[in-house]
Amino acid sequence: MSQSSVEQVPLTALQGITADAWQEISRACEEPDWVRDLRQKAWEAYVETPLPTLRDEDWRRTDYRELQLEDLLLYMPAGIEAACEADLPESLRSHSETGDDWGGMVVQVNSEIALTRLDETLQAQGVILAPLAQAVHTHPELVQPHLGRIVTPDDGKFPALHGAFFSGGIFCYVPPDTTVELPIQALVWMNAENIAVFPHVLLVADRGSQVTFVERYASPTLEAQSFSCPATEVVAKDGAQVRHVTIQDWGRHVIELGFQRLRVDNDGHLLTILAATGGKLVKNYVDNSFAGSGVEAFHRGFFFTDGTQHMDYKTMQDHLAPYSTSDLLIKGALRDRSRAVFTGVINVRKGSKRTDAYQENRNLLLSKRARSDSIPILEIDNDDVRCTHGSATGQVDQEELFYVMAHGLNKNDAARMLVEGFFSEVIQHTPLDGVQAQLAGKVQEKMAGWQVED
Amino acid sequence: MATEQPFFLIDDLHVEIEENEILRGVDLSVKRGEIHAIMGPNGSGKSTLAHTLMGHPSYEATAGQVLFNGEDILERDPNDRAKLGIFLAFQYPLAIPGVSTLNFLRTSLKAVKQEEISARQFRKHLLEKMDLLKISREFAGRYLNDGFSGGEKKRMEILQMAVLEPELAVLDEIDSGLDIDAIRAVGEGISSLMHPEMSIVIITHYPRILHYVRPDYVHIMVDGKIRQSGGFELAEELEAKGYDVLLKEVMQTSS
Repeated sequence: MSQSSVEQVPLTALQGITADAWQEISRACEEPDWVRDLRQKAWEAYVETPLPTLRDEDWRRTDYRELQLEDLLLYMPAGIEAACEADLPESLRSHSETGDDWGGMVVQVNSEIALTRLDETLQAQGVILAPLAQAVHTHPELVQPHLGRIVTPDDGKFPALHGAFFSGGIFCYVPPDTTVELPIQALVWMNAENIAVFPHVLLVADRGSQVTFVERYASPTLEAQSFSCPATEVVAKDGAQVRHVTIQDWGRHVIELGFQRLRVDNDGHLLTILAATGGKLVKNYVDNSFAGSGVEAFHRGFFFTDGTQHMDYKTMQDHLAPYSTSDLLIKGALRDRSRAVFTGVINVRKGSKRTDAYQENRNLLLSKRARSDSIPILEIDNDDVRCTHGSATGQVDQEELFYVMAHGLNKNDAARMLVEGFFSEVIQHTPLDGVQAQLAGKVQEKMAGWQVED
Repeated sequence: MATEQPFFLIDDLHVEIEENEILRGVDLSVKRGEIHAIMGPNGSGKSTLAHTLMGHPSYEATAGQVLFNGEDILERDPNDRAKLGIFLAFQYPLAIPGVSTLNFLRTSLKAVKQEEISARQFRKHLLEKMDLLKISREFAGRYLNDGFSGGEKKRMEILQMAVLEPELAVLDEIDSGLDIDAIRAVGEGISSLMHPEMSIVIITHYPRILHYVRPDYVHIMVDGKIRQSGGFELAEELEAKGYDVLLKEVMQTSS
C-alpha cells in the first residue's frame, strides 16, 4: 500500500489491520517519535506472532473465530463533548455514578477521551490525570519509562495488536509519599457497533503513595459486533499502596481480548477487585507481577455469566522476588448455557524464597447446561516457599438449601440468598461503598428470572 | 396434663432414605405446652425423624402421617412447614458465608411471619433475644455460623428459635459436641423460651441436657421405632443403667 492511498482515507473510515492504519492514528495524534517507535515495534511483533488457535494450550477453550476484525472500524470519535460529568449521557452516568465521591474521572468514549476531571486538591498534591495522547507530550519523563514496557508486544498477539493501535488512553500519576484520599475512576464507554477500540490505562503510583483506582468498561448492548482490545499497565513503586478495581460490564455484543499487568515493587501493597459480568466473549489476562520483595497482595474477584456468554480469565501471581505474600480468590457463577474458563497461575521464580502464595477458585453452576473449567497451575522453582491452591465447582449445595428453606424461604429465594452470599464474600472487599452496592446490585440483576433446577 | 387434642401427631410413620427403611412406624402425640424427649442410641433413626419432620428432600415418607394442627404436612415444602410454626434446630448447623446473622434472621422472620418488619424494629427484636440468651451482640453482624465454634453454632440455633417464636421446636441433638458449661447455657436458654403455647421435641443421645430442659415425657427409640415411653424417670433410669442394659430390657419387653 502506498502512502498516497492512505491520505485519502479519513481516520473515521480506517478499516483493516495494516501498517498504514496505525500510522494514520499515530499521525493524527501528532505523536512524538518514541511513541511511534513503540507502535512500530508492536506492529512488527504482531506481524511475526501467529494468531492463537484452539491448538494453543492457552486458547484451546476459547474460540474467538467469530471476531471479524477486518470488518471493524479501527477509530471511532467520541461524538460527546463534556465539560463536566453532568454533561455525560444518562446511560453512561448510570454506570459511573455510584454514590461515591470521585476525586478524578476520565471518560473514554470509543477511541477518544471525552472528559477529564481532577479535583483541585488532587492537582495541588501533584497528581496527574490526563489523556494518554496528551501526557506523552506533557510528561514524557513519567510516561516513557513505563508505556508499553509493563504490557509488551511479547505478551501475545493481541497485546501486540493493542501496542500498534491503541487510541484514547488514560494516564494517572501519583507523586511520591502522596495519599490520594478520593478515588479516581477511568471509564471506557463504547456506544457504536462494528468498531474496535484499543483503550489503554497507565497508572503509576510512585514511592510510598496511596491511591484507589477504578477501571470500568461498559456499553449498551447493540446488534452487531464490537471489539475491545484493552491493555492496563499499573506500576506500584516501592512502598506504594494501590487499590485497583476492574469492572467489566460490556454490552452483550462485545468481544474482548485484553491484558492487564500490575507490577509491584519492594514493600508495595496491592488490593485488586475484579468484577466481570458483561460481554459476549471475553478473554483477559490479569497478571500480577511482584517485582520487589516484601510485597503484600490481596486479590478478590468474580465473574457471572448467563445466556451464551463466554468468559475466560487467566490470573497470574508472579513472584519474582523473595518475602512476598499473595492471596487470590476468584468466584464464578454460571447460568443458562454460558461457559467460563478460569486459569490461575502461581509462578515462583528462582530466588523468590519465603514466598507465601495462595490461590482459590470456586464456581457455582446455576444450570446443568452451563460449563466451567478451572485450571490451577503452580510453577515453583524454589524450596523455601509456601504455595497452596484450591478449586471447587458445584451446584447450589442441597444441604445449605434445605437449611435456608427450613427457615421459611422458598426454594428460589433460598438459592438466591446463597448465591448472593457466595458473591458477597468477594464483593465485601471492594474499597468503595457505592461500588460495593453497585456490584451487589449487578449480581441481583444477573439472577433475575433464574429458577433453581431440580 | 391438658385433655385437648394433640396439636402435633405422628402416626405410624415409615421413612426411607435411598430405599433403606430407617423409620419403621413411629408414633408420637404432643400437646401444647409439652416437652417430649426422644432418646436413643446412634443409628436408631432420631435424626432421620428430625429431618423428615422438616421435609428434607432425601427422606421419603412411605407410610403414615404427620399431623400439625390437624393437617398432614408430609407433602409440604420445608419453608411451608416453617410458616406453619415448626422449627428445626439442626444438629450440624450450616454456615452461610456472605449473609450476616442479622440479615439471615430478618429475612427468615419476614418469610415465616409473612409480614414486613423494618430493619430498625428487627434489630431491636434481635438484640433483645441476644441479651436474653447472653449471646454477644457482635454475632449479629458476623456471617451466619461462619467460623463459629460448635458451641456458638448451637447457641445460634437457639437464638433463631427465640427470634422465630415457633409453636413446635424440634431440637436435633442440640447438646452434641458441647462441653458441660455449654450444655448448661444452651439448656437454660431453651427453658427460658418455653411457654404454655409452645411444644418442644428434644432429640438427644445423652440425658444431661434434660436436667435443664425437663421433659414431660421421655421416649426411647430403637431401630426406627419408639419402644418405650415414660416420664422423666425413664431418662434417669437410662442415666443410671446406660443404653446397653436398658435396651436389653426394652427389647425383651417389646418382643
